[in-house]
This record gives sequence, C-alpha cells and structure tokens, in this order.
Amino acid sequence: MKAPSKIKISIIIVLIIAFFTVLNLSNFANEVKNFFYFISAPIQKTLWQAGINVADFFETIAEIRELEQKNRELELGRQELLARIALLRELKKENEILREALNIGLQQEFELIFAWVVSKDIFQDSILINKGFKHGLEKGMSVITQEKVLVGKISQVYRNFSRVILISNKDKVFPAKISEKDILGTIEGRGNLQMALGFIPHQEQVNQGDLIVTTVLDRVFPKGLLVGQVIEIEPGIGHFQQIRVKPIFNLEKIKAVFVISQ
Amino acid sequence: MFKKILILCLFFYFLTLFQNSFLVHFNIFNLIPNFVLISVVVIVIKEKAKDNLGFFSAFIAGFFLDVFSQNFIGWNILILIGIVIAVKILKKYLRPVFGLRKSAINLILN
Repeated sequence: MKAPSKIKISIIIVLIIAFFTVLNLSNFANEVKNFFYFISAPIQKTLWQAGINVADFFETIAEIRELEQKNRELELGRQELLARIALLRELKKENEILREALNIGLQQEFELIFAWVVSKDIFQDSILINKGFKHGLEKGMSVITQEKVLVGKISQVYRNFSRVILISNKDKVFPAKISEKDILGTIEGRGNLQMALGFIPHQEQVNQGDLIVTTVLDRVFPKGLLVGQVIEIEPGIGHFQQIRVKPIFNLEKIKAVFVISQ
Repeated sequence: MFKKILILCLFFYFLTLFQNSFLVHFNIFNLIPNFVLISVVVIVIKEKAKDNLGFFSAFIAGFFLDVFSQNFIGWNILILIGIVIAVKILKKYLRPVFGLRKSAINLILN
C-alpha cells in the first residue's frame, strides 16, 4: 500500500510543479495577480494607511526622549539667538545715540565716555551707570545726555559701575545762570527731581520757561550745559526771589549718558 | 470540508493582506513575523494525523503569499507544503514521547 501511495504523491507533486511552471511561463499568472491586486486595492490602501499611522504613533512614543533632547537644544539655541538679538539692538541704540551726539558736536567739545543707565534711584536722586574705573571713570566727573543736558556728577566709582548723583539731589549746590540774560544764581537740589534757583534779587526779571545753564564760575561742571527750566516764580522772603526749576532731562526716558572725562 | 476551505481562503487572504500592507510598517531589525507561516504550522500541529487540512492550508496560504509577492506563483506553495510534510513527520516521531510524558503526569496527579 505504501509504494502506490508514494507514487501517487510524487505524481501529484510533479503535476503541481508542472502546472505552476506553465502558469508562470504564460501570461496567465500576471492576469491572476492583477485580478487579486484589483479587488484588494481598497483594503490594501486602508491597511497601508492604518499601518503608517500606527507605526508613526509608536515611533513618536519611541522618539519622545530624543524629541525632548532636540527640543531642549532648540530652546537653548533660541535663547542664544534672542540674547544676540538683544545685544544687537543695544548696539543699534548705542550707535544711534552716538550719531546724535556727533551731530550736536559733543565729541568735538569734550572727551566723552558712553555709558548705559543700569538702575535709577528716584528717592535718592541718583542713577547707576555701567562704566567704572576700569573704563577710566573717576569721582567728580560730569555726566550729561546726548542733548548736552547736565545730569549729575559721579559720586562713587566701582570697577565696572559708577553711581551718579543727579543735580536735583539735596546735597547739590552749584552756580548757574539764566541763559541769554546773564543773571547769576545758584542751583540747589531739593530732592525728588526738584530744584530751586537761589540768590536772584527781586529786581531781576525772570520768566517762566527761562533756561538755566552752567557758568564758567563753576569749576565742577563745564560751562554752557543745560541745567533746567524755570517753572514757578514766587516773591519770597528777604532780598531774593524763590524760583522753582525742573531738570531738563527726563529720568524716566533717560537710557544712556555720556561721562565727560576731560 | 468545502466550508472549511472557504473559511481558510478568506482567512489567509486577509491575513496575507494584513501582513503585506499593515505589518510591513513594524519591522524590527528588518524582520517581520510571518503570521501566514505560523498559522499554517499551528493548523498542522492541531489537526489529526489523518487530516489533510494542513496541505490545503499550505496551498491556499502559499498561493496568496505568491500573489502578493514578487515570486512566481507556486514558490511559497511548495515551501509551505514542504514545511507541512516536515511538521507531520516530526509529529509522527514526537507524539509517542509527548504522549508518554502526558501519561506519566496524569499518573502522578492521580
């Protein structure tokens, strides 16, 4: 029984091989494949898309750590770029201020050191600038704005920073004159960004809006620097008028200053 | 029998499609598990020694694998039939061993 069974199986196998050989040699195999591709196309397409979606999902999960790392790197890069942009903006501003100062001719009159205002102390009428003795600053140097407006005087010098006492500080007293009238007086700081012009006799004609400038008598500040503007005149007690003066500089808007080194 | 063959045709058709269209996206080290082959082997293991369902499975599964592959039709059929024969022979020789072990376990438990 075994021998005929083996022969039968062998014949079947040979027949199958022959069948498939003929099938593949003729074009019929391609037709069969084409038929199955045609009827399976919609299912295949759906399964293919689903496979992509699911694989992407798992790939994303697997890459979360890598993405986190990349995200951190990008964030660092972004911060670095932001810092660079900020620096460039600062430089641009500095450049604009220097150009303005050059137009006024400040650089020709004085030897100036540019400085940024780092902080402001309105209660003590002082500001902190970002230049110190490392940059050649010394105590007593005058500080002005690019519009040739007197701001104050350096009171303390550190390595990289300096404290500037504003002209409105209570301790500040210096000679000044009313511009174009040659009326001499003294500017006295009253604190809280207020000043007074003292020692002006009653007979002198002073008007609101008159500008006050530094004089040659002052050994502290160079002459001709704008100090303030008269805002109120009162008769006062005694021989002198009481004149209230407001500083020309706007402390809220002041961002950069020049230190007169010589 | 006809019903079984029809179910096998549908089962292997969709399994082949699933394997070729869906599972290809989940290759690990460029390897994809061949579920069609695994199914054929499981069917052969589970069927009785006298049954021929394994051969039918091999033929149908091989046919669909060939249709959805670059191979000429018949290549996978022959391979799967060869595997079915090998499994059947293995089953024939291993059955007494497993049967003996099963009897021994039953004896101990009882």
